[in-house]
Amino acid sequence: MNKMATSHVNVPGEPTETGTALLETATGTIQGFQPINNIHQHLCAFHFYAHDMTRQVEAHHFCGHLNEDVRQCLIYDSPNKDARLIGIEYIVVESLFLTLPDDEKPLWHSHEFEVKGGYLFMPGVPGIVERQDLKQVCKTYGKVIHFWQVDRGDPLPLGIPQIMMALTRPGQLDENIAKDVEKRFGVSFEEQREQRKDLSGPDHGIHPLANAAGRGLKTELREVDIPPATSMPRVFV
Amino acid sequence: MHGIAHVSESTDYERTPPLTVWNTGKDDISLISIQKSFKEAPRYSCYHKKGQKKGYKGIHSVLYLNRSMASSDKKPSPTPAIGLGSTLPGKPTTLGSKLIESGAMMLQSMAPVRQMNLHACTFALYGHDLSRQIETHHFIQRINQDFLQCAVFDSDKPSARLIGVEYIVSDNIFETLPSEEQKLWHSHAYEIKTGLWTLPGMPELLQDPEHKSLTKTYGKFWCTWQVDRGDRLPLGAPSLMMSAQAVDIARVNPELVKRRDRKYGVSRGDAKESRVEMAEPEWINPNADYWKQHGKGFAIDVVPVEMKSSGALI
Repeated sequence: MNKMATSHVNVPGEPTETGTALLETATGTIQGFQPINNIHQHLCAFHFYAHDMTRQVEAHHFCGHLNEDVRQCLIYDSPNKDARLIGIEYIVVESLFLTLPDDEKPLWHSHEFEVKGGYLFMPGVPGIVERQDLKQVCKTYGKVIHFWQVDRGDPLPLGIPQIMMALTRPGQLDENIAKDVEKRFGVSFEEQREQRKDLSGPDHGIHPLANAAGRGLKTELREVDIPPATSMPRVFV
Repeated sequence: MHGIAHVSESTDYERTPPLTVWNTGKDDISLISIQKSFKEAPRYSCYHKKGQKKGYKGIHSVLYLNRSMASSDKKPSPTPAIGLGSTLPGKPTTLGSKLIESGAMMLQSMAPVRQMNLHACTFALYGHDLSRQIETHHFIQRINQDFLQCAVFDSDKPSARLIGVEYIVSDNIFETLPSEEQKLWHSHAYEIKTGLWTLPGMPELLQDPEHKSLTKTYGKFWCTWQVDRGDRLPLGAPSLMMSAQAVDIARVNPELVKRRDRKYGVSRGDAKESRVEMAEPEWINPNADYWKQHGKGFAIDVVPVEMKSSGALI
């Protein structure tokens, strides 16, 4: 069982009641789940908070193609049944990244370093198959938002969303986290690095505005005025 | 102030790359970006020191002075990433990619995503602008009797865009949250009782037990892709969403509901009958649906800060 390195806090609440469980087994069989069925790939990588590189999270991406150039991923804190849904990532090719407004680009990060460095991998998939896809991923940009700060032990998704970044330089990834993942998934980042030497990043190089343009990014909550609610309740027909 | 000299609206990104020019005031944004073609490397210059970088000439360190970027309630600047109908840019998935995916499917366990076994269709309102309303498709996994996590899409088709995540907690759990946290949540009683929330494909009677337990819950929904605004790609900071309430400004446009009901064969009559008997929660925490009592919604800003790093990690 691949349990993540950081302490796994249980989500508070009573165990699921039998009636509820039975009903949801029924819905699971009867209803359609096409958007979920479009998710075909599991990628493991590391994210850190865009304002704090020292807080690093093992991120399990479950990804699907919207088309050849755009992917969307659900991010969980483990690859197991009891995994917590902690975030979302969108992945786009370079040509689409360039169409983003300039004040949007800093929220996105490049994938070149973590792919070439061996840190991003597809658990269970042989290297030769993996590299077919990583060849493409290496040239893409991603936008990651996390909603649940599991690394600080939050039992529930508290607070506001966090923009996350990916590894861009050697020495960033905490050694203990790295070793733990290597052990649990039976991979060696160094070996992968060797085998991925012929992969290349975005054709125009890494855009200077990507990766928060080299700075940190923080999210903040702001109150906005809403027109006053009228006291007249609406009759719903 | 900055103006845009020319923006290419072409969807053929191979032949006509985006051409954007921003004129900036000296004290404001420090970036001028010109890219005439993909053959010519994009050039950037600014009022600060220049450096050389492979693929880009005249690179600088971009400083966004006293300015937040990509706020959830601000419309993004015009670029090809925004367009009427918010059609998805990009090429159709190639056979090669599909083959890789099939291979992965056979070798990998998709355990977490296989846990979602409930599909709900409902409506959500933008927390900073309740008049903007969207039909949402929640794919839900129950963690325990008091907590559910949902992947939210804009439709239930294979082409559905992932537009956010919602977490749902029971009233017991909600009461344990600090009040600052509670403000970010919304109540579900109204949307369930009025049939806005429905489980497509399930007869109304079978939906009952699920709804009984969900009526008393609260949700926290972050939207990461504002498709209703025409965003062809996910732009900006995540937006906090709210739920429909029995108050004029927070009622869902009946046209949206009619269209949804027609699509799924939801009979308004059936829904009303079976749910009218449903017990209402005795009390809804006033910190939820914060706008109702306080006339204030929430927006998220992304601001530049100094990155915190330890000495060893540069």
